[in-house]
Amino acid sequence: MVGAGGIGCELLKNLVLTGFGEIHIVDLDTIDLSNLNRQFLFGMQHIKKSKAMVAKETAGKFNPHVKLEAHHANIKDLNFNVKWFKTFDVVFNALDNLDARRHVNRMCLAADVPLIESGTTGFNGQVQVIKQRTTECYECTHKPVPKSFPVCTIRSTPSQPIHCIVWAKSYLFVEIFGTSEESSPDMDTSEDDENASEIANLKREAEELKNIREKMASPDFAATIFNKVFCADITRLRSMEDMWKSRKPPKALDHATIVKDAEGVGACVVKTDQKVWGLEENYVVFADSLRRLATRMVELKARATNGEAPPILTFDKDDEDALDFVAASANLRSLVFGIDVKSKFDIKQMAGNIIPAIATTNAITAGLCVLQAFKVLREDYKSARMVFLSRSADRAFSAEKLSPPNPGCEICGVARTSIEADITRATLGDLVEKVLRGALGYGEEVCVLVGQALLFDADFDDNLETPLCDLGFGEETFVTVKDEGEEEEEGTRINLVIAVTNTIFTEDEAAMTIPEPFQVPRKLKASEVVEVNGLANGVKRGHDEVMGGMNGHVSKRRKVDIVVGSGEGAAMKKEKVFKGKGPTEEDVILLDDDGCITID
Amino acid sequence: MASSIPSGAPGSREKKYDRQLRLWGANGQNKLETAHIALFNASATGCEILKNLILPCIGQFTVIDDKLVEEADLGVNFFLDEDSLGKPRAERAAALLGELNPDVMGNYIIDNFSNLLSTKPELFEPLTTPFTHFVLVSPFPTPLLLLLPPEIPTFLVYSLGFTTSLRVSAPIHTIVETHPDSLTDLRLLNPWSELSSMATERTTNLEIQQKVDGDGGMSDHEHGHVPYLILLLKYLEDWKQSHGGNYPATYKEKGEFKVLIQDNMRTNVPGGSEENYEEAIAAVLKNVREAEVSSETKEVLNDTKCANLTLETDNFWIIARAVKDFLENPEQGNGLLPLSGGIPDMKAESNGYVDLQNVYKYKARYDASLVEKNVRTILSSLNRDPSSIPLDEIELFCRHSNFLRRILYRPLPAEFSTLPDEHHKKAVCAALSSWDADTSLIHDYIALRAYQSFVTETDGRAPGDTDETLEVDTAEMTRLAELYLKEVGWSTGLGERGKNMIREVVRTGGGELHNIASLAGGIVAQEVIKIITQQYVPVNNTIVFDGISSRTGTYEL
Repeated sequence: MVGAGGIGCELLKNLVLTGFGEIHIVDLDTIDLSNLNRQFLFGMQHIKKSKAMVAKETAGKFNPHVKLEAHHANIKDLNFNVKWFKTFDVVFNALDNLDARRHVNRMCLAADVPLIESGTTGFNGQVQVIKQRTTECYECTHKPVPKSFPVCTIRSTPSQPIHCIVWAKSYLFVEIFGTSEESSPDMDTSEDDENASEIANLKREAEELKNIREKMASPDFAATIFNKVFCADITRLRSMEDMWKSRKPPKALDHATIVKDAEGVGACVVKTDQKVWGLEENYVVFADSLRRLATRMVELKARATNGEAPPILTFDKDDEDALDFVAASANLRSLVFGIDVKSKFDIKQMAGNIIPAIATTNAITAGLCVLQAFKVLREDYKSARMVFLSRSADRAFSAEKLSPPNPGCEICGVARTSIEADITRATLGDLVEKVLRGALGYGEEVCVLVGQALLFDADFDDNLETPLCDLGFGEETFVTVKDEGEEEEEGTRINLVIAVTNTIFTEDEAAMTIPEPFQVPRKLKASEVVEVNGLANGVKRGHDEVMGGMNGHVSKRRKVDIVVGSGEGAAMKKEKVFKGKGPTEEDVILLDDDGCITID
Repeated sequence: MASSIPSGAPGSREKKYDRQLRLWGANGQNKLETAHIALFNASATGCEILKNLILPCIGQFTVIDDKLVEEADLGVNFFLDEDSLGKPRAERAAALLGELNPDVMGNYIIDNFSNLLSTKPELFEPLTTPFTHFVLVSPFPTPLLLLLPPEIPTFLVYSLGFTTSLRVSAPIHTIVETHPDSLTDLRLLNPWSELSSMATERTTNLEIQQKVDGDGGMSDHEHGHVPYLILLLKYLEDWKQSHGGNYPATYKEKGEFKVLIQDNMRTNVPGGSEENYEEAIAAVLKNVREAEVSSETKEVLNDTKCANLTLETDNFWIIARAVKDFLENPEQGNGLLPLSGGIPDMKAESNGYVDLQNVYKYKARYDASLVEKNVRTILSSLNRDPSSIPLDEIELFCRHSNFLRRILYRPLPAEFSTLPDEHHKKAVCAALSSWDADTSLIHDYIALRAYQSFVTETDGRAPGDTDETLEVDTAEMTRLAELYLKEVGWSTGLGERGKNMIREVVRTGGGELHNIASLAGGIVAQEVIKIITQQYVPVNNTIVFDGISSRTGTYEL
C-alpha cells in the first residue's frame, strides 16, 4: 500500500479486517492537523509523526494475525526496486501526486504485479485496475498537468488573481527569502523576440530587490520593500507607454498615505481568513507578516555558522507567516492592477494547490479498491472495473469495463527485459553490441536513451567506450531502446525497456549478463492513427516530467542541446549527455508546446 | 503602526477542517456542527456511517442499541475491540467512536427503538426530540417504521453481505448551493443595454486592417484579442440585420452562423487562425440560446410556499418570492432571473477582459439590489425586521437562482404500508419492465423488501441465520417477495435474477461484511452530509449498491 493518507487509512482498515496476510505500508509523510478530518487512524497526539508507522500501530491492534510492515520512506527510494515490487501479489496506490503515481505504475509494469490505482478530489474519485498487457496503464491516457504562466504575465501584465498569487509566492517571496536563481515551475521564462527587452528589465528589478535583502534587520525594511515593488517598479512599468495602449495601466501605491490610513487597523485582522481584506488591512498584514518572516530569517542567520549555505525560507501553505505574506502581497498587487482581491482562505487553496478532501469519498473509494482486489487476486480481469465516483444525485458512482492497453503508450506499449551489469566496467558499447545487436538482433539504426537523455544513436557514438556509471547509471536504471531502422517488411520494433541492475562481478567474469534472445514485437504497419496517439503521449509526458516539480520535487530547469529527430521520436525532447558529465551539470531550455498567452 | 500578534494562524478548528470547508464553506460547517444524529443499531455499517460524520464534526451523536458485544462483532466492526466483549454495544461504540474526534459529543442509550417509542415518546416528537436526524440500520419491523415522525429527516439503511441500500425521507428539502459545474449565464440573446453598447463600441473598426499606427484600423494583435463574447454579440447583431430581426435558432442556422464567424476571421496571421474566433465558434451551440428559467427553479417559484408567506416562513421561500417578483416585474427582470454575473476565461487583453467582467458583475449586483428591495418589502409586510435577511444571503441566492432545488421526499408509509401508493407501484413496475431489467438493481430492492417482511414476521430474526432454517427461510422469503410483487401489481412473478437475489440475501444470514459496511458507510454519510448542510443535491429517495458488480442504482420509490 503506497500512501497512508485519506484513502490509505480506510484501505488499511478494510484490508486488515478482510484478513489479508501481509501488508507493507509506504509513506514518507508526517501527520498534520488538517489530516484529522478524515485520516481516522491518527489523532492529535500523532501530529508530526510518521503516517506509515502510526497507521501500522493503530490498525495492527484490530487483527493480530495480519503481518504489517511500515516504511517511513519515499517510494522512489532505490531499495524499492523491481525485485521488491515482485514480492507482492497486488499493489495499492493511495497517493496524492502524479509523479509518484507514474513511478509506481512503471515499477508495477516492470515487475508485472497488478496495481490498483485510486484517487479522490472532494466528492469525486476514481479506481482503476492496471495489469501489464491486459489493461490500460496509468499513462495510457493523458493526465492534465499543473499550469504555468508566461513570465511577463506574472511580472508585468497580470489580469487575474492567480497571476498576482504566483507573483507573490514564486517571485516576491523567493527573491526576499529564498534562493533567487531558482526558477519556479509556475513561471515559463522562455524568451522570444517580443519579450526580450522586458525580460531584461525584469532581471534588473529582481537584482535590485536582492540588494534590499541585505537590509532585512533594519526597521524600515517593510517600507523599503513596499516602495520598491508597489511604487518604484510599478511606476517604471507604467512608463512603458506601449504596454498600456490596450490595457488599463497599473496605479502605484503611496506608502505614506497607506500607513496613515491604516493606523486604526489591528494586526489581528489576519485571523479573519474568510473575509476579503481592504487596502489598509492588506497593508497591515503585509507589514506584520514581513516583520515576522524577517525576524525568523535574522535569527536563522545569526545561528548559521560560517561556510554553510546562507539560510533560506521556502513557501509552505501551512506556514502561517509565509501564507499571510503571500496573501497580503498578492492582494496589494491586485489592487495596483485593478484585479479582484481574494480572501486568505481562497489564496491558500490557490497558492498551495489544495485539494478538498472528506472521509466519505475516501471510504467509498477504498471499499471499491478492495472489491477490485478480490477480482485481481482471482485473475478475473473480465469482471474487474474502472470506477468513477461523482457527486451526482443520479448515482454514487459508475463503473465501466477495463480498457485494453493503448498500443501507442510509451510506458506499457513497450517490450521489457532485464540484465545485470557491473556499471563500473561495462560500457555502453557492450550494451549496444552484445545485448542489442548481438542477442536481440537490432541493426545500425538504434537509439538508446535513459529518461530524456540521449546516450547513443547512429549519429552520436561518442559514448561507446564509456562505462555505464559515467553515463548516469545507478543501482537500477531503465534504458529505453528505440528501433530507428528503415521501415522493413516486418516493420520497426516497438520500444524496448531494459532494466539494468548494478551487480559486482569478479574480474574474470563478463561485466554484463546477456538476456535470453527473444523477438521484440514489431509495430503494426497500418497504424498511423495509433502512431499519432503515441506521439502525443510522448510530448505530454516530456512536458509533465518538467512540470513534476509542482509537487515539490527537483524542478531546476537546465540547458541542453535539443535534438529534434525524425519519425516517432520527433516530438521527444532529447538531451545529449557527454561522458564524464552527469546530466545534472547541464542546463535546459524548455521547448513548450505552445508559447502563446491565454487567459486561464 | 499597528500592534502585532505572534502568529496569524486562524483557529486550529479551521485548520483541522480546512479540506472540507473548501467543499461546503462556513455555512455548511455551521449546520453540520449543530446536528445531533441518533443511530439506531450499532452494527458495523452503523458505526462506519457515524465515523464518517464524526470526523467532519457533527455536533452530537447518540448510539441506541440494546445488544451486548459478541465475537462476531469484532470480525466486522472496526470500532469495537477485544475489551468490549460482553459489554453493551451502545456504550462501547459511543466510547470508541467518540475517540475519533474530541470536538464531537457522544452519548448512548442502552435500549431499543420499539421500547423507546412507548417509554420515551418525547424522543420522537418533533418539538421535544433532541435529535435532528435519525439513522436506522435494519432490521426494524415495518409497523415501527410507520411510526417515525415525518418531520425528522430519516435515513433507513440495509446492509446484508454484498447487498446494501439507503432510503432517505425528509420534510421538504430546499437547496441554494447546489454546486453546479458552472453558474455562467451569458445572456447573448438577451443582452442589456450596457453589454450591447460595449459590443458595438469594441467592434466599430473590427473589419478595418490597420496599415499604420493610429489610422483607425485594428491591428492583428488587437483583432486577435477581442473577447469572444464581444465577437458573438457583434455577429449575432449582424445576423439579425440580415435575417429579419431573428437570431439563429435551429441547428442548421447555428451552423451557418458559425460559418459567418469563420469568414470574418483573419487568416493572414501567424498560425493562420485566431484563437478568439475559434473560441467564439466553439461556444455557439452551447451559448447562443435564449436565457431560460430551469424547470427546477420553476418548481421552486411555483411552490405554494412561495405564495403563502407567513411570519414563520424560511428565508429560502422569502427570497424565492422576491426573485419571483423580480422575474415577473417588467421594471425588474421582465421575464429573466437575476444575472449570476460570472464569465468564463477567454483569450483577451487584460483590460478588455476586466471591463467585460465588470459589465456582468455590475449587472448582477444591480439585479441583486432589486431583489433585496423586494425582500425588504416582503419582510415589512410580514411584520418582520426588514433587515433580518443579510444582503450576502440574498446575493448568494441570486447567483444560484437558476440552479435552485426543492425536493419533496415521499413519506415512508407511502412505500412501506401494506398497500403502497400508486407512485410506488408504478416505479417498481417501470424498473422491472425497463430495457435493462435483467441487470437492474431493482431485484436487490425486492429481495430487501422480502427481508423487511421477514424480519417483521419473525420480530427481528434474519432469514438464513442458521443452517437448519436455510431452506425454509428461502421458501418463505420467496413467498414474501412474490406477495410484494403482487401488491405492486407485477403479475409475472419473481424472475431468475430475483430468485438469485433472494438466495444471496438468505445466504448472508443477516450478516455484514466489513468492506461493504465501510463502503455503505461512505455512501450513506455522504447523503446525510448533503441533507444537513443543505448543499449539493442529495439522492431522491433510494440508492441501492451491489457489491458483487460494484454498481449503484437510484430510484424514487
